[in-house]
Amino acid sequence: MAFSERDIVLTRISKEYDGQNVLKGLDLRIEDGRITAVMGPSGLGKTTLLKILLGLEICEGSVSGMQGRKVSTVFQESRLLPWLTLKQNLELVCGPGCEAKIADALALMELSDAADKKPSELSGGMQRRGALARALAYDGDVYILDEPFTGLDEELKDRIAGALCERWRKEKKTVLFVTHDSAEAAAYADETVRLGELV
Amino acid sequence: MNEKTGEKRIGRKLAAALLWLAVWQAVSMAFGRSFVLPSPVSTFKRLLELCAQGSFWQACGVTLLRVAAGLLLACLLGFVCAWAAQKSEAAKEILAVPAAVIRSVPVMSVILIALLAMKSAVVPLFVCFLMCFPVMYTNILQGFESVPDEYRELAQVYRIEGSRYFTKIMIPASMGYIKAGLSMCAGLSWKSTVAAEVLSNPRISMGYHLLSAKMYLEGADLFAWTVGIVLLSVCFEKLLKHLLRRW
Repeated sequence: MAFSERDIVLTRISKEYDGQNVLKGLDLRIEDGRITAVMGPSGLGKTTLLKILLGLEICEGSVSGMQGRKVSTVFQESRLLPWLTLKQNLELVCGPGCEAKIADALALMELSDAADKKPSELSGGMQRRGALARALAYDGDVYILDEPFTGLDEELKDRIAGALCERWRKEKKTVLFVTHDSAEAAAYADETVRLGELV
Repeated sequence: MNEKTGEKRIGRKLAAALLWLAVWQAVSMAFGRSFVLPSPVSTFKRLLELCAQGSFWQACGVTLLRVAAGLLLACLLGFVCAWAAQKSEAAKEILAVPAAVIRSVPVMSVILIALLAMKSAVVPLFVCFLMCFPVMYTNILQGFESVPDEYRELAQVYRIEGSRYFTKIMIPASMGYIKAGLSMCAGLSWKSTVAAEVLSNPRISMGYHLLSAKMYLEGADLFAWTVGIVLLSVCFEKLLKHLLRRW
């Protein structure tokens, strides 16, 4: 396996909450330009791992390969701002002059007709796709996604996840996504990391 | 169903207003001295007469301007100070002292102290600002501090910073607290401004006419100006609420 300088490398990562270890001495390499799925039972620190990569959690150990990189993310919750329309939510992250990117992201997520709707007018699945569209419109080098396809029906998931992965592979994006679904990991990821086996 | 409920509510409000007007009339008749307690009929008649005079509207306009300017200043400084306080614990501690002091100082003391240092026309505006500032500052700060962590994290990851973060996340997320502060200040601003006008007595003001009516024992005038102030204050609050509903 050829390592790249742009790989994201986590070395001896430990994190505890209230004296309880969530992650203990985790070593992990996320290869640049590939799609990696993270799996594992609940409570093993999958979301904590993503937050560490996003710089939202302080931990013991070191993370390299994330400095200075533009990161698109989908959190566990959709986190669309309720006072903005879907389109305004996308504009907020990518700034002025990115109408084409927004239109493209909304079209890929099949949300063009919902652009002017507020999040409260969208179903749970549409909000999830809205959060994915925001990540796409931001156009990061790295995508960190926490259960990005939750709430989507199978047919829609196949269509959308398929189109997304195709684009990410074409553009050589580094993608890390958490999932509970081994079929999802097998279908969309180049590599699967099972957290329980690493910690 | 909803229309009927709405009609019933309006009917109940009208009935309550009529009841209190009847009580006012009865007490006025029992009192017998119209310069102390004029009847509602003579009060509203006098108010209609005043409405026909240009000086009435001029006084209303100038007092309204003082209220609006004082409240606006309190909001602006409240935003600046709340922003500083949520950025720095030291700033928060420093600002807590004047906010607490201003909140507990009697409005009359503030007016009298301001009169020593300022022109009479400026005192009402300053007093309105000073009375509203701690309310706005405290509410805006509470709003800023209650912005959920999930929005802060979103802003951090997507690099939403500076004025974009302030206008698109902080203010909308704090809007409930800001609206509550403005609602409290809507009444307070009128009370403090008119009180300051009565004591500082600038020529063009509702407070000046209020004091003149008292000095010349014009009971109907005094009540008519008071009703005018109450009506303007209520309209001001309703307008403020209407504007805030758009947010």
